[in-house]
Amino acid sequence: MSPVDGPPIPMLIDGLSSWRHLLPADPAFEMDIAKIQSLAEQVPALSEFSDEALKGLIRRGRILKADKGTVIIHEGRPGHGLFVCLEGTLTVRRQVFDRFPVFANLHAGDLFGEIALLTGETSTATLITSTDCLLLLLPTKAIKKAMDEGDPDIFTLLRKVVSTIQERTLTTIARMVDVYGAPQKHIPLFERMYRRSKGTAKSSES
Amino acid sequence: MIARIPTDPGFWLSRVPGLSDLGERERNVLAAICEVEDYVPGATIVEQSSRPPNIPVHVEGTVDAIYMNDQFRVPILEIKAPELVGFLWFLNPQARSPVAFIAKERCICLNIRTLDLENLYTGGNALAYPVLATLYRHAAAQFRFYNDAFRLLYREPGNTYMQLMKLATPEEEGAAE
Repeated sequence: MSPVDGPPIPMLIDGLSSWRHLLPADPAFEMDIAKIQSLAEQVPALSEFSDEALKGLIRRGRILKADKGTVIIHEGRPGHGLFVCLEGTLTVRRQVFDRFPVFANLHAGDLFGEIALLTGETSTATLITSTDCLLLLLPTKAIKKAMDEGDPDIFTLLRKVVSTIQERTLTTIARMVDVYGAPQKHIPLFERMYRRSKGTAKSSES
Repeated sequence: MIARIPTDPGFWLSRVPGLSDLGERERNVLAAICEVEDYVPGATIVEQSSRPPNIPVHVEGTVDAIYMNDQFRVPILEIKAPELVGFLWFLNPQARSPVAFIAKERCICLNIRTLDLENLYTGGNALAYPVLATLYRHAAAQFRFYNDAFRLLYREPGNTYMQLMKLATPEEEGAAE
């Protein structure tokens, strides 16, 4: 069974131990810099960056090549920084009781890790590569330093990031509205969940 | 009815945890583009489906996030001060509020004039960066707040079920406010 398809996420290895770092020691990176920049240019959040600004951003970060099934971010653990997916796809999973359903899929051009980066709190979801992935990681320390220095490029990037966060916040509010705005529709679901949770509680007591 | 109160925005800014981290100069910059507003209970701070022209920083009192349609007036969340109520709409001109924010009790908000904040940023004012960094952190924290509230619906299905039952029987006492 592929670790991506299997349910027991806590048993997966921590992504940090399996990341293959191409930067800065691997000379292959020098050969791939044009490719990396070309992929970064396709990222919507980086579309307004000049060539120089984009190179500067890549220099601040680390390029990571992760195999399929690698845990990049663990829910409930501290984040590492802001990730940009340059190639591949990832699944976003969140723990709901003892299950880890997929909440979303991320693709090349998407960013993640921004909530833990900006709040300094733990990650809100688990992210696992569903194909081999090429990622750009902008470490928390590098971004905070750039923010403290008032680096306009970082603020351009963060503006896009926060705009995305806001859209997601509005979506979350809309989902709550969907539940409370149509009580008759949702009562059977929550009644079933309530009964199941009571059953779970009783069986664990006995 | 909205009554203005003649209070120094700097005083209120220093009471908002995230914003109190700003240096004095940055706080003064923010204070210069703020107006203090006093909301009586029941006053609308942000209308549903609107995009407020200001960013209300809610500094005192409790606000209800309420969804309204022809049949329901449903309190979705209760938000206690301090909180940035309307920053959600600052960076995305297309976005509209899916709920109304209504003062549950007497509330005081610092309304940051969106246009002035935008001008600070685009004008390259160095003091704008720490202000924006603080607001960005607030936006991320706000996402977590709503996200946690949403997840609580499913983590505590019994509570959600009881609330939905109340909403479905509005003739009962304690139904939709």
